[in-house]
Amino acid sequence: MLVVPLLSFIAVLFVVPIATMLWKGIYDAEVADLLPATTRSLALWSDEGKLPPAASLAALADDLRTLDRSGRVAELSFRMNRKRHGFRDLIERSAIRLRDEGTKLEDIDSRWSDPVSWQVLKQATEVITPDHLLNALDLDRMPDGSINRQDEGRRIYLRLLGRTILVAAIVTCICVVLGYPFAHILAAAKGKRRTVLLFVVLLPFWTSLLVRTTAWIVLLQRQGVINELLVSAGIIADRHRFALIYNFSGTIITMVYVLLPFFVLPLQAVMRGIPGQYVKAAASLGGSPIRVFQRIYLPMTMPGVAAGASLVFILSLGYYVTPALVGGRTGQLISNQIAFHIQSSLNWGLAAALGTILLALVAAMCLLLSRFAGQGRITP
Amino acid sequence: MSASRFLCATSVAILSACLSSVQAADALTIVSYGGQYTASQQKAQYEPFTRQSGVEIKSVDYNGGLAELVAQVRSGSVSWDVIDVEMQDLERGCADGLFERIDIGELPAGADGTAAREDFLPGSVHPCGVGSVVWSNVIAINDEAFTDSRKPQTVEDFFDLKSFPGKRGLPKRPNALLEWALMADGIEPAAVYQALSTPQGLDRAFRKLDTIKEESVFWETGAQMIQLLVDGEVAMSSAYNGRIQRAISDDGKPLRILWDRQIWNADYYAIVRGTHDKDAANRFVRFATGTEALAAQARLIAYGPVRRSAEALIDPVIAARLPTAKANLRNALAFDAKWWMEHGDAVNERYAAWLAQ
Amino acid sequence: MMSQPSTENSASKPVTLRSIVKSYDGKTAVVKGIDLSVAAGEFLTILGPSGSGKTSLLMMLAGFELPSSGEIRFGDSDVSRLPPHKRNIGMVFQHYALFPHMTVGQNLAFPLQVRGYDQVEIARRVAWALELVRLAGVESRRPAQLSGGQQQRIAVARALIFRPELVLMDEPLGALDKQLREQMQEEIARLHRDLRPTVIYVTHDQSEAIALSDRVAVFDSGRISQIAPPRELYEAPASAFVATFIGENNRIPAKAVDLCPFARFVIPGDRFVSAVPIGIETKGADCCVMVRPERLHFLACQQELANSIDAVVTGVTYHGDSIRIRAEITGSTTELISRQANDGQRPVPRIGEPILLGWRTEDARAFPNTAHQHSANT
Repeated sequence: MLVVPLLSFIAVLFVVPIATMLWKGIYDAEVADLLPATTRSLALWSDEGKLPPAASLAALADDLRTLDRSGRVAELSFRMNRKRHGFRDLIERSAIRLRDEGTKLEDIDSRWSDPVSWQVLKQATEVITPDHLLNALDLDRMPDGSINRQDEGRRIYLRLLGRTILVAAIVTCICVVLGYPFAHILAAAKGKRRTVLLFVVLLPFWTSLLVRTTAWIVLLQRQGVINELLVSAGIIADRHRFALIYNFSGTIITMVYVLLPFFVLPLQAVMRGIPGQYVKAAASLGGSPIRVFQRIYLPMTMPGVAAGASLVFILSLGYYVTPALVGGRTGQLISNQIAFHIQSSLNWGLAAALGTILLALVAAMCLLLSRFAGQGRITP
Repeated sequence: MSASRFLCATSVAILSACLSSVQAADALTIVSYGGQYTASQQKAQYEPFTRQSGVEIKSVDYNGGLAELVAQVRSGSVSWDVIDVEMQDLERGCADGLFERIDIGELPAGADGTAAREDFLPGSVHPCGVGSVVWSNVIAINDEAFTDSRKPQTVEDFFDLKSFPGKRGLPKRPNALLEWALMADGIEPAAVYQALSTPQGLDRAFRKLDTIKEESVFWETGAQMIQLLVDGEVAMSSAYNGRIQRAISDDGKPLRILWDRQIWNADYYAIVRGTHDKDAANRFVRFATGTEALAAQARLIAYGPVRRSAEALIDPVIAARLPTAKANLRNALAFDAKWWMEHGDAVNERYAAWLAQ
Repeated sequence: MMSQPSTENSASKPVTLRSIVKSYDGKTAVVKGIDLSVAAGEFLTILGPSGSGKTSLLMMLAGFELPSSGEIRFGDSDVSRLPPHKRNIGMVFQHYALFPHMTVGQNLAFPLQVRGYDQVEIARRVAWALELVRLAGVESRRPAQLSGGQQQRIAVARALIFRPELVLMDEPLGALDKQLREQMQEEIARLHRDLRPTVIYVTHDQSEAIALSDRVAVFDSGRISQIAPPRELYEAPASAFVATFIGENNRIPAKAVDLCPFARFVIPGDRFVSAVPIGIETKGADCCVMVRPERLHFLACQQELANSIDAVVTGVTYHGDSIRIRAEITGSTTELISRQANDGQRPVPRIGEPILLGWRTEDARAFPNTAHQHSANT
């Protein structure tokens, strides 16, 4: 079959990575792998409020000794500390004292006599875990299984998600307002004029990200071209230079610039596909230019608007390099955090959970927009 | 997006696995940050090592972070042998089992005969890696932004908008910044991390940061930080000493480093777990962190050698510009990567929330 | 008869064009001075080959183009500079131009809504218009759910629903197949008979023009070549161009040998024939003799008709009701076509047979040779 290469391409490049991401957001076997005996033993224990049986304590002591021998205690303490702060110290002290003194766990630290610690440990050994998804939603699972909101100072992901959506919505709106007339002019243009206009639209694609960003910085910063011009023209005072970059407006300006072609190109393709006779017919039937635009041209170009707008919106959701460089402290979007957790904090589970939420958002948006677009679809 | 990141990491692993089977069996792949930094490593360490041992070295650049390394080690197709990592990544990679263990006892004594244990700066030898250079988080100022005779001298001045007005450049990550906030608020360097470990200390640091938040420009990369300072968009900025020094001595920019309470950090050579030639990798690390090799590198780039014995071999004019100079170390703070690993998640989230407010 | 809308806001109006010239580049004119009067309620067809300027004229009538000079009047008012939506014309396009995102009912309501009709009147008129084109009950469908013929009927209904002063039709049947085309011709003729709007109909199809029109204006290179009722165009074309463009015609190259008292011509094969001369003024002039195929008879003997020539049959098509013969004049390469009603009595000629062809003098017209070489003999 001729579609086999395409199908395998799609499988390898789309289905597998996305499935892996979704899976990583809920599957975390790292602690279970490090503590095999403890995991088996705790799986049978469900008596909340009481300590697990002595066998479980012995199993943990065995696991810790095994890890200590292979020098892997840090791997466990690092991960457990992520589940609940303070566990790093508890586990490292326990491992050292088990090796040096051979004492029982409950004598090493009183926390081992607290059922709560064991509840945390049991939660950590569960390979299918909601913890990353909860974390991504600024929620926290308590040792007793109840779900609370994250400490106020740490509630960040919903806020960033909200800002990401807000930025995407604003960028999309501006792209629609700026791009619609431009797409119309482009669609109507012929010959050399069209070539020039197309070149202008595609310009952002032909420059590298960093060149583009640097150019914007040169243009927009306080000592930049625009401010210098305004000051030298006497329009603003030297002290009152506009803050155009390293803030929200910087993010919006540069993102609109980069994403505008994604709106203009599909829209002008739709516009070019609309035969001129519809507008002529409407005019001949008595429609004034405004009525013709409202009733005929706009509805007929809606599929293009929807396609372009959804493209811009979805791309905006995933943008982070440019906003990070020109957005100052407001340039932080949800994707920055995903990149940070992949690259720096190595918390891939949380990154995957954030990715899952973003993906769900995009899917919901696509569904919404496709219904919206369906109303104005051109049927031949 | 994250899906493509995963894919990227996997394909890098696959690609490099393919490449590694092609390269000569005894070549050693060393990964570092690229640019002038790697150029200094090549001159001072890679080339002399190849001349001495006959082992070819293949230099690979990366952007920091451990994602690619994690992908290699977890997939079992390791093509990197030695990697240059910063302290925090060393600590984290070590906890994650990405590196081979290194025994300090095997390290050679200094050129002046000092035993390795004494010769290395405290903290610069780690179970998972050996330090090479000391770099530093410092506060840098644009001299032209302060026309008065009185110029900022201290960390306190950085937080003093009244006496020293002007925009401040701050990083998008809280590392080193929280420490300065507390020190500017009167906490001794030695007590900083202890204070930060308490909720009250952390609140205090953020309250101090609040005082300059509105007058701050936040930068993402080192290159951006330099640009902001040079263009006069900020008057002072949190900075890395190496980049500032280069802008001063190579490009003649009117910048200045305040060494007051610098927070020093180190880069380490670590051996990747699963390296194809552990022996050669070990020999390289011992060679590259020897007195001669470190001194040679310090002559090429403004980072200090981690061996005290190497300092003696450096021109005093150059040595005075390094983080390791006695005068510069006077009230310095050593960056505590362990603390950051333990508290990083919470602090990073809180800092991100603070930024977003 | 079906009920008509009560609010009769506009009667059909006469249309007058005075010295209309259109040039797009300021140098070459595509419409070179048209004077034309269309009576109220008249069905006038503009017929011409592509590039003859008929579409440009239509665009000027509709208001999509402005004439470079000249005047267009609807009734008493000069509309030359009026934008399309203020001209109160109904227009039917070749590709229907029904708005695809609206239902049939919404399409029909559009011209009424923009004119501010109330809902009740709109509903009444939509029902009336659908009945008019015999498509009652489709108002909630989308245009794409209708057949091509149905779509065109809706397009016609949409152009008529607001009782415009003038209806323009731009090759409205061009996109339909032959059978539908004939049905629609009848439909349009019926609507015109019933409602008597002023219609200006543009086509390049002469059979449509002849079947529908009160008068036909034949366009040639930006000018009106002849304007007349269809029968006159067919029977008494004023030029070789019209003679060949309207209906089929045999074109025999000839030279005038005598003009008085009778016009006589010499044709290939050195035979002498007679025909009615149109605009031939000098003896010896190059000209052509035109005889329509149905008036060119095959004869039993030479004396049967005034003109007869020998020829050899080169092709025969048996149509049942008629027989069509292609024959070459003996001693030349000129081919003639003859079509005879089949009375079943005479034998059908065979290829290669000699044959005698003839015509009555009043059935042949001789025109001066012009640059035009259009021929309908294909």
